[in-house]
Amino acid sequence: MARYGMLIDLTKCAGCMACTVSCQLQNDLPPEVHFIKFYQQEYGTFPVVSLVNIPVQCQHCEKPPCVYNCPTGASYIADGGVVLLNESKCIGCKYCMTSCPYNARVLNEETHTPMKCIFCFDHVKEGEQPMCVQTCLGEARVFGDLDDPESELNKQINEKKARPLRPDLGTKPKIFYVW
Amino acid sequence: MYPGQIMPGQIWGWIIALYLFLAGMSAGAYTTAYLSQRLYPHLKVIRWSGYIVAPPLVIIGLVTLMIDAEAGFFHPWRFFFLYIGNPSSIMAIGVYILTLFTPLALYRAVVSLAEIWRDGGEKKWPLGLDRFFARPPEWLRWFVEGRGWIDFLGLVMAVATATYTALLIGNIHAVPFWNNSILPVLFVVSAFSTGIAITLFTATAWDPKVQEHYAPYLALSTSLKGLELFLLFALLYFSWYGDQAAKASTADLLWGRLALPFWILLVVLGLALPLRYELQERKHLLAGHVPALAASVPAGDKRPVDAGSLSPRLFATSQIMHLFAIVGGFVLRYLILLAGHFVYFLPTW
Repeated sequence: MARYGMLIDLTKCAGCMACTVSCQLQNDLPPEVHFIKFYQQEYGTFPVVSLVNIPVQCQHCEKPPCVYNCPTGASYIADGGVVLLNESKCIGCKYCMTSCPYNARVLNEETHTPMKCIFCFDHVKEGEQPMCVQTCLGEARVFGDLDDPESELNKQINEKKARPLRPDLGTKPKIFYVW
Repeated sequence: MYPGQIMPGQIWGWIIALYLFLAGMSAGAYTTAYLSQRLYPHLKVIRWSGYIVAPPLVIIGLVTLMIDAEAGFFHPWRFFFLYIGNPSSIMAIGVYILTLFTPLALYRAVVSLAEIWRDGGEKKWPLGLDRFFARPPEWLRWFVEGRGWIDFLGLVMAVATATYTALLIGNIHAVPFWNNSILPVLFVVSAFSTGIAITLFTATAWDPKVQEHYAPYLALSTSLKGLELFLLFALLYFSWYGDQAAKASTADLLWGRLALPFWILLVVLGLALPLRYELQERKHLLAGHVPALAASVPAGDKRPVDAGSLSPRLFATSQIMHLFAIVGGFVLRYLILLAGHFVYFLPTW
């Protein structure tokens, strides 16, 4: 089975948030709920300064604290290393929400269970790309199999020296950023 | 914290703080009662007070927890997965611990009721309890007579309960202010000291005369409160010199958005004031005075006093101090939950 991952090239991201909106449409989310959150960070020293847009979603960690801490086994690692939530087992204790260092989970006010990015698992199974990757106008997002050395994803990760966010936390995130 | 980001304290609010507090205080009350039983068997009222308040506290805590876990509250069968879903999760381990501690505490409360009934001259009690205590069925004799090893098992589970409430938030790497080794010690110490406070509060309300025998309890209670202040200092110190997010938590507590409740409700009213009063009370007890009367006795007067004639006003002061210490235990947990900051995960240049 593949080990899905993603690369986000921040140097190509214009911050248009098309990924956020397409993700909301894909997952039937209300306007105020985002699976892809946009953060901004300044860098440089005056007068040479800049602002970068950083989209952050579930990092589909290989050692996900949300899965390890989930008391009922509702959060689990599915095929392809995708972290999913089985709602029929979830008691809504929100332990996964406090455990996630990337703040990836949001609470579904109707079912009282957390939700998050699922790497558009149903699309990916049929060989398609996740919605955010399909939508990205600047081609800042690359999706693929981390176990396949020939994949476009691995080539770009090596070429652009992409890194995950806070690898020191030990969760082994599978979304790599170029900055 | 980044703009628009949610705080850990918004995910886990006052209900979780209340639960952590009640479970800890229940464990503390049980521990106090157990120590009382072993060290001072003649102080029956103190022992009974601790054993009887312990189970309702933890049960109220569990009920609030279930109400907070709304998905489970509306689909109660999902709570079953707590036992089989992921046994390595600290929350599941906590469920196992509470599944043992709650019935053990309830059991000891029943044994205490039987002791009270026997001590009170075997009078008639409602619900036919007197008949049950007098002639229990053969297979339930242990339920009325009590068994030392079951009490000890309860003590082990009480300590486990107090520890687990801290480990529950302590193993969250995403919140550095919680993820350190001082927090469990602080929570256990606070659980024990609030446990003593509620036990003494109940015992005093039950029979003011037992106040004469409070000296050893106050020695323990004041030591624990002093230790708590020191641990709080150590927690803030290491957080300040640790992760960036933990530093933000420290700033929030010391002079930021939580400074007012931190200094006034926790440090002064919750810890320092009860500590000072208990030290004074203990001093008077050791000098042969009853605490509440001590203030009204002229200085240098060392006559033994009758505990039965306590001045109501001063009697109330010691009870209010116990209440302050109890509320302080809740404020401690709530503030620690509110002060949590998620780690900073954005790239830096």
